[in-house]
Amino acid sequence: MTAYSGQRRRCMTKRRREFWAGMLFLAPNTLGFLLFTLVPVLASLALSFFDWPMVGTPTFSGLENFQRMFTGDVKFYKVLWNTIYYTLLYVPTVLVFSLGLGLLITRKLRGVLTFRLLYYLPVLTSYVAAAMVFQWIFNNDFGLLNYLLRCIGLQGTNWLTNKATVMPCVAFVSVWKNVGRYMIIFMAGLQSIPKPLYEAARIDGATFWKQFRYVTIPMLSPTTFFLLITSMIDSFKLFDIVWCMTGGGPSDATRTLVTYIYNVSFQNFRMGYGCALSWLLFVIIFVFTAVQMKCQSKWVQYDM
Amino acid sequence: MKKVLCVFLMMAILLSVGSVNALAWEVNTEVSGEITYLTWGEPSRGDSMQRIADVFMEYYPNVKVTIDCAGDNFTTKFMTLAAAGTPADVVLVNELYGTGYYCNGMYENLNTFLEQDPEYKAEVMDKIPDDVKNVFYWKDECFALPTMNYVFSLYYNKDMFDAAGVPYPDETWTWETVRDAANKLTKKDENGVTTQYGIYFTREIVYEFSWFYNNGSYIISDDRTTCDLDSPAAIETWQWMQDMIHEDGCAPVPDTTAGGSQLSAMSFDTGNVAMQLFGSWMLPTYETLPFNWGAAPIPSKDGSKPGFSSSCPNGFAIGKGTPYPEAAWEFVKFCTSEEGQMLIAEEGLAQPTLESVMYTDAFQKGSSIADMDLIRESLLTCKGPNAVPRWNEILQNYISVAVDNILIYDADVETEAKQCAEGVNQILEEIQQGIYN
Repeated sequence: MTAYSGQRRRCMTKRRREFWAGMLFLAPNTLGFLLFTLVPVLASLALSFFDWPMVGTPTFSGLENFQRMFTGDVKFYKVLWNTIYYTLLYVPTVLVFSLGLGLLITRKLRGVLTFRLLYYLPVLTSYVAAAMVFQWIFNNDFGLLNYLLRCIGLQGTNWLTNKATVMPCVAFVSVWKNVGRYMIIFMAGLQSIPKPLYEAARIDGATFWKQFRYVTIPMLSPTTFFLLITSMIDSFKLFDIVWCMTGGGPSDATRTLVTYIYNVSFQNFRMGYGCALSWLLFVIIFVFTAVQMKCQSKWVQYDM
Repeated sequence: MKKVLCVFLMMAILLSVGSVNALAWEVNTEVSGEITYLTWGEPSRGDSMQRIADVFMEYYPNVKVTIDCAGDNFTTKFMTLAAAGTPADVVLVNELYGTGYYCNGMYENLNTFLEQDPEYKAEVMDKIPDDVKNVFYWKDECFALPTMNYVFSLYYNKDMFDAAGVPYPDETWTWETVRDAANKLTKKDENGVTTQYGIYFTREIVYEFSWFYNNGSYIISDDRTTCDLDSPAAIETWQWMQDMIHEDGCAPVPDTTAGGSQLSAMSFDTGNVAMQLFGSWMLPTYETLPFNWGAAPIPSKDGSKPGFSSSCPNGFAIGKGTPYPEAAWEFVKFCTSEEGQMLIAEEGLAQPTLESVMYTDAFQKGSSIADMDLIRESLLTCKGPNAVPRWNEILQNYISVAVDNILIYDADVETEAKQCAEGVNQILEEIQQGIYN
């Protein structure tokens, strides 16, 4: 009896020790999440119902901030459309290009490692440096792009001050900057596709295109789905490139929701309204993600 | 006779310097505290301020000053600290945005400090021109002390002027001379592509204020209640700039720049344009430009009055709610005093606001290329902006829109100017009612 209870106690002590060890391992991340993410997020929700210039006591304003968004703010619809327009330009382009590059760099070619490095380099470049270089490339009079166009007899345009071309230019720079990151993830996805599937397809007489269409794309769909979600979230949060390259101009043609949130909160002293806009952004991203999660069963293939 | 005049002049300078020296700094152990000074700019700016703080701490051994150079994160950091109830004790203040911060409760009102320190008021504040220090007053309340100043000059590329055989700009230049020279300095290649422009106007109006000021338009009226960007003078200025871009083609369509920067892929420093108004904060950087350049006075509108520069004074404010207001006040005072401004000039941080410092070696060494006598003259005759709260909103929602439409898209000047002034006036009306955000 004594021996049994002693053994049980030892067992309990061990289990308890393991429990607390586990808790300790979890604590840094959990506490960090609670303190630096969850609490500020909940505080921002509360603040969206207040007027607060960042100092002093916030004044309760009910739904006024949300009302202002849809009825009193002349810029709101413009920045919302800019954000959606950028997402429509960025997401498909970055996915197509990174998949293309992923396919290229997984082939057994001489010097493929160098290409991998070169394609990944822009990811390591700072946004400020990239923005400055592209400002020069896109310059109307002294830019590289227009110079090259003139060499082949074409007339360029003022890429960054033409309202029709400025957002595609911003999207292009973002794609250039991020394509390497997505390429690496696609590469990992491509390398995990079992080789026998391709061998079987080849034996059945499948061409390269058919192998791509019926083996690669379905087998890569979980990776594609993951990148679709993350690239969409990234695009809705666009800030750095716009801030460094165009400052939101000209005439607000590139002002996006996040740059506007910064303007409103930190430059115009309307933290409450900024929080309301942030929550709208959260809802938009949530809805888009939820729709994609719902639709994934129709095209994402997790099993072989 | 000349010798006598020289002696008189030297005596006068010595006397004026001597009179400022009445505010002598002595070791003070009564004031204590640990204060942080928050600034923007590159890290070297923080290092320079640390050296100034070290001298201050020799006078105030019980005060510890920490320099926090937040760089591009300045606004976010300043606001976040204020929101958290732990404001920066001393903070660098921008001439256009400071009023907004003050009205939204970020800075202390310095009137009481000034009233309790009549010696400082008489020896320093009263000697700084009204057009410089008024920037840091809102409704007779002082919220910052003008510690440094920057003025604009017409920077010109001597190599381009020499090649085109155009005489260098000087104090006799008017807008007509500028336009004429800009046209002569513009070059095109055999395909009709412009390879060199005569002048460059940015799409940031703050850098073009001097043109408006010299035509009698001050953007915001002196009583800070109305916007005059639709006045005949302002419309004439807009039109003059627009014509040079879209009619003459001697100025490029302004490029997009980020964060209100004056630099772009085609600004003066790139060597693609012959002339541009630039602020004196660029003097140290311009020392290394790979071409010969000079700085000339701001051209007069029509020669009837000498041209003068708009200015960008920077001040030091005390963060609202600092636990060490006395220590902060002493530090702000020190940096604004002659000794502090001398150190600022020696470190090359900015130009001073006190005239006495403008005759020192430290000031003269501000540039080995630009004529520092000209910079001094500009500092003594310049005018700071009529700053109002909600400047960012005014700029972003109305003025920048008008600038883009007029200068980039060649829109009708009168219509744009009227729309812009209407919008700004509406905000100014709200400000009069005490709506500051």
